[in-house]
Amino acid sequence: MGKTDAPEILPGTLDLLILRTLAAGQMHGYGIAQRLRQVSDEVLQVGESSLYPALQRLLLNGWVKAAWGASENNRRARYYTLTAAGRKQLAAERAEFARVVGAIEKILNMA
Amino acid sequence: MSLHLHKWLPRAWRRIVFRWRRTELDRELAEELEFHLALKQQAVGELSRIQMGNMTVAAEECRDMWSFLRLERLLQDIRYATRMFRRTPGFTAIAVLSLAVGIGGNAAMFTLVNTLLVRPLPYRQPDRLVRITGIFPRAAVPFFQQRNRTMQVAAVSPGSEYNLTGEGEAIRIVGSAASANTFEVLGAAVARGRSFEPGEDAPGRDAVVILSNSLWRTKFGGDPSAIGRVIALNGQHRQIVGIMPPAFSYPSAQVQAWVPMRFDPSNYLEYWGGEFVPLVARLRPGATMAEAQREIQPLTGEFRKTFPYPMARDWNRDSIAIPLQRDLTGDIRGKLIILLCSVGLVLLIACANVASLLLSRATTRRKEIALRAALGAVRSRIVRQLLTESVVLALMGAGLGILLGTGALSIFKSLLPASTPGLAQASIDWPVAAAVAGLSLVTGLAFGIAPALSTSQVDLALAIRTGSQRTTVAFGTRLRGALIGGEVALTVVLVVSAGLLIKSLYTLSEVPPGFQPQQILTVRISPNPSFCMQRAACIALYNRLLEGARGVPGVDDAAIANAVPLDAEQPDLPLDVEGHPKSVDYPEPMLWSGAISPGYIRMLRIPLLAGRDLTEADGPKSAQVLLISASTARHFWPGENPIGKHIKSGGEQEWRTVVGVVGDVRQYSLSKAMPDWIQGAIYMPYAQAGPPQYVNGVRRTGPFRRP
Repeated sequence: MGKTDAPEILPGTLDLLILRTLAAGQMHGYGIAQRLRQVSDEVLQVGESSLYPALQRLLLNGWVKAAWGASENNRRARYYTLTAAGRKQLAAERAEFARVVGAIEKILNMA
Repeated sequence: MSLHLHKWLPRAWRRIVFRWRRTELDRELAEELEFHLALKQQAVGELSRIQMGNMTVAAEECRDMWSFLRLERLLQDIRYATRMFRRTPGFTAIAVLSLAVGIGGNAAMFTLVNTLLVRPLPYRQPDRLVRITGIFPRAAVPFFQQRNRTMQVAAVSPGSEYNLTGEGEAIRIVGSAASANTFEVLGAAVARGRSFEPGEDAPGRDAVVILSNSLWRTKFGGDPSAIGRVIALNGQHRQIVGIMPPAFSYPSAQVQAWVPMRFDPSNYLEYWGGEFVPLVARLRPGATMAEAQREIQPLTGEFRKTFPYPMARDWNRDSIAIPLQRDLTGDIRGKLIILLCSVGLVLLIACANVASLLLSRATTRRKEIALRAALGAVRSRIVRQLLTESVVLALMGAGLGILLGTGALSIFKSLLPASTPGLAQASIDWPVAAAVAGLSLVTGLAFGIAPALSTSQVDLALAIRTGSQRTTVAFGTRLRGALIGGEVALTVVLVVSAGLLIKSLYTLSEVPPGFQPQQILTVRISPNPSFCMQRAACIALYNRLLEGARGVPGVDDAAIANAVPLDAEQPDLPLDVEGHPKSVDYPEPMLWSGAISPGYIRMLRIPLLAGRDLTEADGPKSAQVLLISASTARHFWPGENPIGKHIKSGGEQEWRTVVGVVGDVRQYSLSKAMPDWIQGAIYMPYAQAGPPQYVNGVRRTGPFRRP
């Protein structure tokens, strides 16, 4: 459904990345995008048109919840927090991702 | 998308909540995006237009996420469709009506086919039930029961009329004689009381009767204490032992009571002659249809040799076992399939009709579609919108169609023989309604797809530049031409078949029936057969009735006959004909045997071709005489003078003399003079008619001629 900013991010992994980012603590949308960029050494660029729909999707699934709070520059910003269900989902997606990546590696490394 | 309910349900719930808080969410999202934008501007300076656009896309996609997008689009399309329909009531009415006719007919036919052909018989293990084709004398039943190893054989007569007395006002009912094991063989249990017990078909033990649910309700008010009471059927006292459930309708829905079929070898005519009956059977456990099939022919051959009179060598040589269901729906299957095909054709025509209506409307909608396309609607979206319109149209047609179908069903039901088992229970039920809904969906897509594709094919540049729609219109016209061609072809098929039916009906109406039916009224009178055992009293009764009828104002003349032409009851008798000895190769001829009062021939204007008519002088004590029909004379005495020849019925000692030849009358049907097994027709004076058993048959029908 919808377009992602591929090829920067593997399809379907954006949710996983956001969940992992939020695992460290609550964060607003812009912060998430920044963190993803920094941690990935500028490799992963997440556009707004992918990020915000993805956040809405996570909200709908009940994996994150949102609350308004004051930002570092004292503006009103919406902060996202991981829920218990979100943690479970993160673990599941992580395992699945590892499995797939492992499989891909095996194929790439075959003799 | 996950189909797990435990994930899906909370999600749907949140969506509903989101939908609820939509304006709030919208505002919050806008603020959030604005915040994002501000931070971004701070970081990278001026933003490009594409980056700004990204924001709008993000907002739109989020909004889509909150809603039940597909559902909302569908609702929107439906709203739009109904608005369109309201604006063009003429088009809508015609389209919905033609679809309703098509769908209604199909709903009715689905119901009939489902009830009569598809639904299994309401008996235990219905697939083990068979019918042995052909009809057999009663003597065959014990024979088959004793000799047969693969089947349990029962016999059930098609039913005849009985006088029911001894319980309030006398009524006339249809009763069927059934061997005592019938209900056990069919696997049908009584609703109350008990079934026939083994041996109750033996003479002296057969004074019992089982009632149908309808008779029990109408005559006994559904009183459970009816069981055990004694009623008289044709003057014979019988105890009510059981009541059948409402759904039981074997051998036909007309039968209201079942009496044991008496097997009495000492009663020659009843046991070997009289009414031949059909045999039904249940395959014994382990036996197969093929084994049963192999057994029937040798047994029939053996049984034929036991007849006390010569029986045709090829008698019942083609008897086979067929599934009971196929037997019950035998003649109806063909009719139903013809009807199903015609209603299918009607639906096709309706579809083509609506499709061409939609196509012609497409021209007027071209501008609207072009505008939609210009505003960014992709073709698939426009096609979906147009298809939604046609499906809504079809569903409206289905709604009206089911109403029409209820009406059509009662018409179809009246066309089919009322005795068809299960016919009364046929009504449009949920499975049929579901099938109709599915059918209308398919219909909507079928007639909508071509117009939708052609309408949505807009060349924007061309439409805007010239305002003309040449290319697409050409396609639309071609398609419409093809549709109209197809429609005309289908209509021609229907009209031709209807024309053929009308032609055969006309031909039948032109067939000279051999008598003049104008100004003839008939009345049926039915004294108990036991009363007519005393012949003198019986004849006196008929004479009194005749006198009474002649005295009725406006009645010109009155006569009595055991059967009138084209009546359901056919008095066929095996007869001996002078000069035609019976043998295995030339068995006893069957003749239509009328018993009439003098004056009957004259009154019906049946022409007297030779000899004399019957007169009052041909009484019980005078010489036995009869009239024969012209074809009978030709059949037995070609080129000879039939007057003075002799004929007698099976059991009689004395020959009857042919005194006159009368014109042929279509006794059986207008389309065919005589069935194959009937070799002619005779008329006896009713005062002299036959052996006592036959006097029972002297029937109660008084044709009157009005001035």
